[in-house]
Amino acid sequence: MDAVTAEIAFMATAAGKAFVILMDPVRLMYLAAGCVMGLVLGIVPGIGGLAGTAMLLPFTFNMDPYTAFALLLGLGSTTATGDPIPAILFGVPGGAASAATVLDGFPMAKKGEAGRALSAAYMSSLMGGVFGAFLMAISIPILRPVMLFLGSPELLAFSVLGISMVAVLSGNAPLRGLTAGCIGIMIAMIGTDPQSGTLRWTFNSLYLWDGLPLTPLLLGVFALPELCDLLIARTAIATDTSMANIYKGQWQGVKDCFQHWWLILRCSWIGGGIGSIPGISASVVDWLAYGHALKTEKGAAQTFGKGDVRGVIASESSNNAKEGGALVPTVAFGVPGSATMAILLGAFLIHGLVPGPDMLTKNLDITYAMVWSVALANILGAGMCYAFSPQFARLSILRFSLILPAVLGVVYIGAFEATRQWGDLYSLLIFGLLGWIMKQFKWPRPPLILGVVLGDTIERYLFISVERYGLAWLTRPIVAILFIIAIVGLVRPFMADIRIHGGIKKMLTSFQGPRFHPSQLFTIFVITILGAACFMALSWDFSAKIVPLVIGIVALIASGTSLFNDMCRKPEAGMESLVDQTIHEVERQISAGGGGGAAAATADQKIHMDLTSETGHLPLNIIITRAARFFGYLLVFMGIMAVIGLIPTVGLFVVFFMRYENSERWSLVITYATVLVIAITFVFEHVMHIPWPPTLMGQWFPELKSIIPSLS
Amino acid sequence: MLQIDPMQFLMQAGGLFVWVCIVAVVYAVVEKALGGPAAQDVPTDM
Repeated sequence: MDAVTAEIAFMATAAGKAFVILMDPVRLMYLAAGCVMGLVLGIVPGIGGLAGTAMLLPFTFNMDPYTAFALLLGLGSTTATGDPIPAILFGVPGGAASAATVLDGFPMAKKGEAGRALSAAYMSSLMGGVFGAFLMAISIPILRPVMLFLGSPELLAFSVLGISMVAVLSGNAPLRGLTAGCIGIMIAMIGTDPQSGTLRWTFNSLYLWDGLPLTPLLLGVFALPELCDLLIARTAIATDTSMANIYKGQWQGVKDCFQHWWLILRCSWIGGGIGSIPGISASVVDWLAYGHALKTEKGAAQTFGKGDVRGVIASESSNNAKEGGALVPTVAFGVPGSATMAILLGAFLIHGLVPGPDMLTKNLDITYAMVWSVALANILGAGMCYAFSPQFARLSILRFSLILPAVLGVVYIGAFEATRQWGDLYSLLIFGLLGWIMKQFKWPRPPLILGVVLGDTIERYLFISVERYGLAWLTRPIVAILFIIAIVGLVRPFMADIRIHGGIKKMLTSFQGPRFHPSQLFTIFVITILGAACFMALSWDFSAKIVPLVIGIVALIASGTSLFNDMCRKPEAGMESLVDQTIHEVERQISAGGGGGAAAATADQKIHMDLTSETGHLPLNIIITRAARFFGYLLVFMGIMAVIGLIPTVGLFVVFFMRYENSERWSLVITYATVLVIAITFVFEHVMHIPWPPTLMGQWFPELKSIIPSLS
Repeated sequence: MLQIDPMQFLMQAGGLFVWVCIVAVVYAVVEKALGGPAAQDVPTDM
């Protein structure tokens, strides 16, 4: 008993000492500076905490560890507070961790509830972040044996559980979701196979040798389609947002958080818990929390995906809690809980700290200073967001001609930061087109990203597990439990589909002659690509081809079945498609007051777990013309950028776009273009010293490089 | 810590302003020659 009391006293003393050290005004200033940078980087799409932490690291060389970690964790902890702002206002996730926030946050902004959504996001981020810090504080001394018990098989099982979320995330299109998820895994396998060194789907391109980077893919799949639709619809994201709504909504957002405190606690627990498991990407956390809320919250099946504040709360509380969780294995075992933590590990070494038992004994005050830094950063970050919330929220009532050029410029910069090769920009364009087509034809995009994020991890852990344990790893209890949960998650939507159609027998007999629709062309295109990819894989080494082939065949079966269903399934009387049929059925059940299990099952089917295009009311020729114009702009932008550099191109593009697309008045055009290019120059050229893509002008006239910004 | 050369930044900012003005003048001349602002399709929902 005395030992326990002494232990508690030791911990409390260390925590108290750390708090006093951190209260030093200079350290607080650095913490605040980190928060500001974290928020800005979180708001800017594509440049997340990862790049920010890496960029800040060199500046901490001359600081003491307390100050250095205050700065780094100030940034790392608040990117998740800032990134719901673009997610909610633009439908563009600021980072992978806020991808799930888009699903409900963006529809809320469209309904004029941007203020409420943002306020709920900040408050749940604050609560989640403080919970994450608290979790770290209490778990450091007790988690060590648990962490040591987890081996590669368990980590594999956790990743598989993450992948199984595609079924939940695919809503009314589980087959398409499964196909997209499999394509994502296959994309993750592009590059050199770590086992055999085989080059997989690299097409003799050096750029693809190290695999396709996530940033251009994420920006392409999520950001460009929204921008394209902005140009097609030619309207602001929020058409009925008024300032009164923004102020009123803020308080409502806070109340929402206190009203749903139990949801926040559960999602924070998911964030902190999953975040503390090394190797599982932070990008999964918000999806897991969102999926949890969707399954457990009352009436969620009917309202999630259409602007339910609980969707925002679930996602945001979890992604802020994960930082505290991810610090645990980093500090205690030197095993980074996330990519940002891997960079933080470098900071440990720079400051002469060895992660492990030392951090829990003689350097315990530094560890607790980190806990305080995370907690204070979350409070400061949320406070700053509240202070400037109306300014941020104003962005959602801007015209498309003002939003599009600025966001597009930043998207280009963000995409290029992945590997700093022109290949990043080509990837951005290709995945932008793919994302837009998927959005138009209601193919769910989140499973694609989930597949990309987890694909590598799954393959790596699978090989380690088989090498180390043979097949015995499958019998490990945690693995078995996680696999069962994953299988149930995957199968459930298909079972619900069968139930809707009155059983397997009825389902198998209700077919007719094939009917053709333009959207089937995309499915045929996907099948062709998958077939070609599998054919190419046949000639690889066994260890290099086994996983891609299995995944490819699953994708082929899923997409083939989806196409067959689309063409040959008999529509129900008076209804056009399975989606329409389900929507009507749910509406009937809701209006009849039948909110039981059957309603929940069908409602589950109704939800399309992605943003759908708001351009359906326009004639097809207008949609195609405007989309072609958008992608034409991107191509011309890249072409001019290759000659004169990004910043002068932004100036040229803004003038042309604002004048040609919306006949904006000249005074606004010149002011806006000048302010934008100067701001980009200041932030990216002078503050961040971002390397720019090589340009022809830079090669022809090297002396101009110091005069013209972004000329390289 | 942040090494910003104010002179270089100010020169670049001035240069960018001039660049934007040149682009605007060229565009305005072309626009006038073609007979006024581009007759874009009417905004759908504004």
